[in-house]
Amino acid sequence: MAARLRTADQQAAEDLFNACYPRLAGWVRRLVDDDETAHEIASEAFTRLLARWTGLDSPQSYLYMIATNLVRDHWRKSGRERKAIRTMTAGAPADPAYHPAQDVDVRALIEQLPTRLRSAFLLHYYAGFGVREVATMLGRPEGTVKADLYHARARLKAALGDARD
Amino acid sequence: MTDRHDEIEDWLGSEVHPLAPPPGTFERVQRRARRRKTNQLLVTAAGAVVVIAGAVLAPTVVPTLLTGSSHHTGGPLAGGTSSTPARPTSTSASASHSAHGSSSTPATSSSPVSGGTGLSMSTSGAPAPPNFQPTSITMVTASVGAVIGQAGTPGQCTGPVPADCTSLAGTSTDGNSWYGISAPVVGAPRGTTGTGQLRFLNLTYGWAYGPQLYSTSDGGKTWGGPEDTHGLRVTDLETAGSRAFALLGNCQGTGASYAADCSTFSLYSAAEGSTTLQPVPLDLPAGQRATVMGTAGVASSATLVLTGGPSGGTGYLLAPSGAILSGSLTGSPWKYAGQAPCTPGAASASGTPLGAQLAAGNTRLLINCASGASGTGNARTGTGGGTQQVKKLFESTSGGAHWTKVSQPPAGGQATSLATASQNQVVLATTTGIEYSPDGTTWRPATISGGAPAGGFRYVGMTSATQGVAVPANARLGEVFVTTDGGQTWTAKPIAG
Repeated sequence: MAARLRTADQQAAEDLFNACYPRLAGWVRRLVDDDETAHEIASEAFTRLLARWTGLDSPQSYLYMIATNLVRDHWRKSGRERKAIRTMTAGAPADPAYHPAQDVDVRALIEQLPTRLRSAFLLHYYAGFGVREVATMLGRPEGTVKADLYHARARLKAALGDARD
Repeated sequence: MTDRHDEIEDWLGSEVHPLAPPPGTFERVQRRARRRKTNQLLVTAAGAVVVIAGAVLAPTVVPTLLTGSSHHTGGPLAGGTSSTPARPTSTSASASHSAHGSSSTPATSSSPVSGGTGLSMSTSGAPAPPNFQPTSITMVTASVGAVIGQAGTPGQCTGPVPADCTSLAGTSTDGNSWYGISAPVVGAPRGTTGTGQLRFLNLTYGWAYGPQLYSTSDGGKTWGGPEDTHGLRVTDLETAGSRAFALLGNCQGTGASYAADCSTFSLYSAAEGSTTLQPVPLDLPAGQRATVMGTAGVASSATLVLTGGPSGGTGYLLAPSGAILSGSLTGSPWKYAGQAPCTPGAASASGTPLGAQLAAGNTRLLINCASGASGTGNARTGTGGGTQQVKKLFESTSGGAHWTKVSQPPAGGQATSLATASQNQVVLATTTGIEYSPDGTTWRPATISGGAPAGGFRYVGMTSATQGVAVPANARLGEVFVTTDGGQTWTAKPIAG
C-alpha cells in the first residue's frame, strides 16, 4: 500500500511538473536576464515544492511564492553586477535575439517597487492568480491586495513616465 | 513620447512564453527534493517540539511589512585552530561576524570572508570563542543546536564597532562540544538595537532577534539584516513547519531591558526562504479587537508557542489580555480560542512574561500562573533567589478553550519558563532552579549537577521524551544545561573551548 501511495505521489508530482514548469520558467524568464537563471530558479522552486509535497493545500501557489522570493533574492544578488554590465554595454547594439526592450524596462521598474506592492503585483498580473488567491497567499485582506495592485500600477505608470520623458 | 498607459497595459497583457525544461530536469529536481526531505525530517522531527517551547512577550498587530535586507557573507566566528580558540571579530558594520586568529593574537579581519561556518549535523570548525555568555539556545534535533550570546571582551572586539561581540556557537553532540558559527555583526540588546535570542527552523533557516531581527538562509554562514521593523521590537520568535512567527512590540524599555516595558504587540510570520515578515490577521470577537493585544501605555507581555512538523501544525499565543489565540502555521488568520486562567502580566528584560508561562505538548496546552512574588530575587534581571511565589499549573485539552487546574508547583523561586515532553513530563525553570514533574500533578526539584546556578534559569525546553536544554539566568557562567532523562537531572555544558 505504501509503495502504491508513493507511486501515486510521484505520478502526481510529475504531472504537476509537466503542466506547470514551462509556464513557471517562462514567467521567471521575464523577470531575470537569461534562460539559464530562469531554469535554475524554476528548478529550485520545484525542488522546494517536492520536498514539502505533503500537506500543501495549493501546490501551485506555493510554487509561485517560492519563485517570487527566489527572483527577489536573485535581483538583490545580481543588482550590482547587472548595473555594471549595463554601464559597460550601454553603447553596444541591442541583442536582437530576445524580448522587447519594453519588457526589460518595465521589469527594472518592478524591481524598484516596495516589496509589499511587488509581491501582489507579480502574483496577480504576472502569474495570473486572482485577487482572492493572492490575498490568501500573502495573508492579507482582499481589499488590501486590491489597493496594493492599484498603487503598484500607479507607481509603475509614474515611474515609466519619468524614465521616458 | 510613448503612451505610458498603453505600454503598461501591453506589458501586463503580453503572453508568457513557456520555457520547456532541459532534459533530465525533473529527475534532478526529484533527487534534490528527496535529499532535502530526508534532511528536514531528520532535523525537524525532534526539533519542532523544543525550539517552540520558548515563550516570549508580544503585543499588537501592526499591518506593515518587514522588508528583508541583503545578506552578508562572513567568515567563521571562531577561526583559530582547535588549540587556539579565537576571539570574536567584527568584519564591518554590515557583515557577519568573523573571527580569525590565535590565542596570543586577537583576530582581525577588515573585510567579509567567504565561506563562513554554519550549523551542521556534525561538529566542525574552530572552537567557540572564549568568554562565551549564552543568552538563548535553539535545537533543531535532540543533539544539534546553537546558542547566541556575547563573547570575547565586551568593548574590545575587533572591528569597526568594538562593542559588537555577538557570537554564535553550534553543537551536534547535545552540548558536549561546541564550534563557532558566523554571527550577525551587532551588539548585545540595548534599547532599540542588538540581538540576544536565536531560533533555527532547521539546518538552513534561522533568525537572531530581540530587539532587532537578522536572518540566515544558509545555516548561519551569512546573515542579513537588520530588517526594517518599523520602529517595533521583536520580543518573541518561534519556528515550526516551514515558517517563523514573530511578536513585535511597541516598547519603551531601555538598556538590556529592551522588552520590559512594551504595551501593544503584533503577530507576523515569514515563510522559510523569505526575509519578508507578513502580518498575521487576527480574527477576533468585536469586543476584543481593541485591547486583546495590549493597551497603549500599559506595560504587558505575551508569549508564543508552536507545535507541529513540516506538514502542518498549530500556533498558540497568550495575549496581554489573557486571551488564547490560535491558528495554523500557514500564515492564515488566527482566531480567539478561549480565555487563559491568568494574564501574562509584566515582562522580563527580554520580554518573557513573569505572570504566566505557556507550553504545548502533544495533546495538551499547559500554563503556569504565577503571582505574589516576594523576597530578594529578581526575575526581570535574573539575579537573586529565594523568592516565594504562588504557582498554579493548568492544562487544556481543547486548544485553550477550557482550562483545568492540575497542580500547584513548589513556591520557591519565580517562574521563568515552562516546557513539556512527549511523555507528559513537565519542567518549570525558576530563579532558584528547575522543578520536575513526571505528569504535571506531582513535583520535585530536579537534580542539577554542581547545584543550581545563582539566579536560576531563564529558559528550559524539551527536545524529546528524554532530552532537553536549559539556559542559566546568569550568562556569565558560560554554560548551558542539558538533561538526558526527561528533565530529572541536569548537567552543565560549557560553551567556550
